[in-house]
Amino acid sequence: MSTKPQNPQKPKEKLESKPELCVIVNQPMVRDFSTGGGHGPEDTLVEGDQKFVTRKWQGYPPQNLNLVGKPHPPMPEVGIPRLTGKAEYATRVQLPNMLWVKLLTNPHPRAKVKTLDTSKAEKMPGVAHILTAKNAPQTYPFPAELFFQGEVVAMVAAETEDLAEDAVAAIEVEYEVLPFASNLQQAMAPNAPDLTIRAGGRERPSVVKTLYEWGDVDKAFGAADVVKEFTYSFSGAIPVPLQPNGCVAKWDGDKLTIWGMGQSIYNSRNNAAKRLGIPSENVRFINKWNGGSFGGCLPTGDKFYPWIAHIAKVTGRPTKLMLPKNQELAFLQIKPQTLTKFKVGATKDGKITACQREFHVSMGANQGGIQEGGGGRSELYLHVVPNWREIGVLYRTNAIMMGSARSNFQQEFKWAWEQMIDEMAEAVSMDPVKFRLLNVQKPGTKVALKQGGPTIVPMPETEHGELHYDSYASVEVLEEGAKAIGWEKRNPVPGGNPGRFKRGLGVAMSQHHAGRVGYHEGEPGYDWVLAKNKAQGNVTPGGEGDIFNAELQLNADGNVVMHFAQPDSGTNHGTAMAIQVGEILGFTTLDHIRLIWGDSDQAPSAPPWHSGLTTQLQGGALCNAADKMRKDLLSRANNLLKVDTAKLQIHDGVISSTEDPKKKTTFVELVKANKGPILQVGRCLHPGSIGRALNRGIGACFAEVEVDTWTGDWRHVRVAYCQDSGNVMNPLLASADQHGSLVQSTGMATDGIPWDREFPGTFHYSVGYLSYRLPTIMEPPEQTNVFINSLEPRWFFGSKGFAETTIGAAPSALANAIYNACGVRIREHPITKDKILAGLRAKGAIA
Amino acid sequence: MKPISVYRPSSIEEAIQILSLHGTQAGVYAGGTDLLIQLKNRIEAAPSFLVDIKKIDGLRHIKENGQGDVQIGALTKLAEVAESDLLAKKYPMLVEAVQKISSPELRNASTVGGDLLQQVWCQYLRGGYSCYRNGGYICYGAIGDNSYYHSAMGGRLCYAVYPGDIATALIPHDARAKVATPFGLKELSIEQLVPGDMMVDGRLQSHVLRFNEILTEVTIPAAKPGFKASFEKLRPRGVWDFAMASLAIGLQLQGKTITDACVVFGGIAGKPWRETAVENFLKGKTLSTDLTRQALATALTDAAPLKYNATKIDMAKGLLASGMARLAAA
Repeated sequence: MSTKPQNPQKPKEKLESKPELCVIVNQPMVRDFSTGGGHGPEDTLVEGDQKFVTRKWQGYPPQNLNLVGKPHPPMPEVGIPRLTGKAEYATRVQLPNMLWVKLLTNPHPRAKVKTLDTSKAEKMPGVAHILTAKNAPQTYPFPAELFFQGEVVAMVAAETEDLAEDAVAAIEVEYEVLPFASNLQQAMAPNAPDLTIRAGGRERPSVVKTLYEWGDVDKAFGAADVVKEFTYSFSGAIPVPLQPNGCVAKWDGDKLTIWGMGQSIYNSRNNAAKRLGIPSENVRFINKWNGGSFGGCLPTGDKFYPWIAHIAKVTGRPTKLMLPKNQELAFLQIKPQTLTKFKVGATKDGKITACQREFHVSMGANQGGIQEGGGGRSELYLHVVPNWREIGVLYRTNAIMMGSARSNFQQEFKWAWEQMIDEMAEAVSMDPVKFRLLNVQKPGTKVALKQGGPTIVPMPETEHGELHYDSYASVEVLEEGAKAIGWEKRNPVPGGNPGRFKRGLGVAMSQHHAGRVGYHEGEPGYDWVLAKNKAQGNVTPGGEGDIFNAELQLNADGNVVMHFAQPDSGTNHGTAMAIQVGEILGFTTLDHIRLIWGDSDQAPSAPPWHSGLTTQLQGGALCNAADKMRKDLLSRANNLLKVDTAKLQIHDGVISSTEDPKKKTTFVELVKANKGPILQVGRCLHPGSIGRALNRGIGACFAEVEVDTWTGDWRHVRVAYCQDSGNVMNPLLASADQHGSLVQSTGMATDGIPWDREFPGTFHYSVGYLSYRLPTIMEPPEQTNVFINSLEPRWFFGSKGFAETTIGAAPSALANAIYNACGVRIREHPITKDKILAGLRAKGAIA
Repeated sequence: MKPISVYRPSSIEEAIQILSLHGTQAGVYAGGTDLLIQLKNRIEAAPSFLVDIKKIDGLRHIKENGQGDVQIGALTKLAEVAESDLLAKKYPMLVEAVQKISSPELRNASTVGGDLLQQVWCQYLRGGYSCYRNGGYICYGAIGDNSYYHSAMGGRLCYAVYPGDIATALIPHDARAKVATPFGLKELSIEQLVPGDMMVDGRLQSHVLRFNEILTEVTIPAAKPGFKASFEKLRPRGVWDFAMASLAIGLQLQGKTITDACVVFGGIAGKPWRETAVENFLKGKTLSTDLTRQALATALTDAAPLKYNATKIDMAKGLLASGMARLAAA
């Protein structure tokens, strides 16, 4: 650190940015995949039993692009407020006369409140209101049973945070502690308590078992040359949002404004209104920026909005909640604890012929349905291995609820999958990359419903019970990643390198539905999915089955204003979507694009965003609107200039004849002629299934580590982070996003749920991350991002989502690399230095 | 947070008077990186009357006296130690140790005195559990999750490890601490200052300072020619974390012969752990890479790990091997 004063005479040194370690591998435009659908943009794709026809790239091919694929800094209205500290996060909203809320939470893994005495707290200075089960709104009561540590017992609203905290401390509670099972070991024990939830005439069982089987697994084991059994455990992981979860509620008469945090606008608004028993149009919901929500925050804010709004109503004052980190954790969705047992058979030349997998998952306090463990995330091999038995057991536990948290069930299952693949490769003496290339699903694989177990449902492109989808790059991510990391230099002998500090290379794969594209208005698939969703009663406004709406407004100043709902979580999707809209409308810069988002009064309705689908589906609605706008403007120009629309071109707001450039008009003139802004609305739909069985996006993480074999210390040296990304909209954003992805997933490799090992169910997350070690800026390795441009044929510009394509692979890639470096196989997550050292001792490698 | 009062005395004498007035209800407030967190975390044992000594002159310095000793004021920031050219020249091992403490942000705020006298970072104490250090009668660390922050060398009442690194690094330098008391100045060796797990004025603490005493300065004698030292540290995370094990080793050499040795482990016991068996073994031996294996055999033979922390001993031994290798190569 230099403290020397700068010489004022000396001109400021220009900061040279380090060249991004970013490789984009473009696949040929002409490809032989079944869904490649021809060779040019004029060609069509015909899919499914309904024979739906889609124009390739929706008529916007990945050719002659001015904006798409070029590096763009964030749009100023998104980026500058963030960087200058002016962004209006809910936690930053300060209103005059505002009350602060603090929570009294349950200290036991499972309990009921026996007695609750708030009389002392009520008399304390500055206390305005205390909300408990007694006076909570009937439309949204407090939980009758405290199902996990950290559940709400009482909420105190006071003049300051401190006074509210003091009053919380003065509330006297007596708990009846109930039998509990907080972790998998307790839930799997013979004397585990029954945690069945019986409510509203429905019964949600304590334990759910699933069994899927095809082929003849036992016979195949008998015939296999090699049969191995493995057990792996994953101790859970938590996403850590940088911004504390919280909200502010304010009433003006019967109109309520909520500043919230999370991944939705309309869904949150509707939930809050329903729970308060008021019409949803009376609620304005604002959430423009989040300090990272990572999927884990999906349920957190929604839980509290009604109670905070209720307190604001009864006190007549704006009211704010900001959860401290230790309390916030209890209300996030996290990655669950899992236990996986494999029995795998293979031929001596490395082909997996039979796989039996048994997985156990701690669901936590999920009150709702069961996602069946996301099918156990077996898609990379599911449709390739001919004999398969899958036993899934899910346990309701007195723990933090499981759910999507920086991917949906990837890291926690890939931890076992991708270590098993490595161990099988070793069992047949094969290189792990070659073994994967031999066994992984490749384009051309028929994905049959009967073989998909719980993981697929019929989709528009289903044909005779089979899905055909080939635009993925399972081979390329392995081959290009191996090139980028220098795999050929890997010593195949575990711990085979000499010396104290041993380096090793490891690989793991992951796949995600993020590549899933939707249907926009005007496509037959759109009507098909909408009709299906409506028939299933799955179209609540702003709910999962609803339409992504978007509005474009061309103003008299020639600016195009994009209106869309999705809050920005640092995802910067606004910029990616602006690039697409700008490209469609013939701009060569983003100077004339404006964004308005994150406010139910200013943006049309849309479902929540998640799963890396924002740029695809919200962006699809915007592309749809931009396509309509382009056609509308060309038609107006045709009327004015009397030039056929096919012979008109658009360049930065000027529409001119391709044959006679003097024949021209401008966006500004067309708006003036219209005597007002020109508006277009676009719509897009989620396809109804997230297409879990479809390997829409495939990733491979190649990691190099260095282990200090004297102390167990290890270092993450280098990574090649490869993904099938489709055509990247903005390489600058894509690279930054993947850095974040790797850092977060590395944290999920080295830290589990911060449970107390001796008293499970009680977490010691209390002291500023003392017990949960997020990676710091010092930890990340040198990272090369490899983007395989698979030119997704079904979508605008050949794009698809890839936010969480590789993220699931990092923990197991690290475990595989550590094994290669020092011969210690860490099957029990997380990776810690003491486990490495204990492993070295067990091997006799230390004195 | 409980109501607190902050005093800002301008002299040590005044500070001692205020501390004496409030007894164990008062506490010295310097960098605040430990104290303020205790208050925010509502730890019962945290003081209510804070005596902010930052306005007192003469407590923040790094200076060399006539004998070549270096005096470091108790209010000196860790960042100032880490960046001191004088200290880097005279005591590089100490500087390396301080550079490995926590994070740059915390080194900018926290002080040498605060690091030496800091409270333990047991997650149970810091989580507000009613343990021996927090007015209770149990050590949760001894029976609970003792993976990283608890002693592997036995204990008495509190099993939390002494978390400071400066003390560990100062011991091989024979540094001495100056303490202002109501009855004048007293001087202690670092080992006397932090004997660990002590009951003082009815409170369990790692150091021996009474409620009305203030650490003012640390003096490090000039190293003799032939002194070589090394500091090693292993943390769960590379920065912003406490040691799972650390080691400060100082050797007095005549040529290649070790005439004196000081081996101190941090992060494995309730105090900086002086390993005299290794010191005695090393004395008179010739420094070489071959010596390490024999030295390891004599190290930490009286370890008493708890349920989850046996690996600490292997880590500490690994650090000893590493430190010996560095000294042999130097």
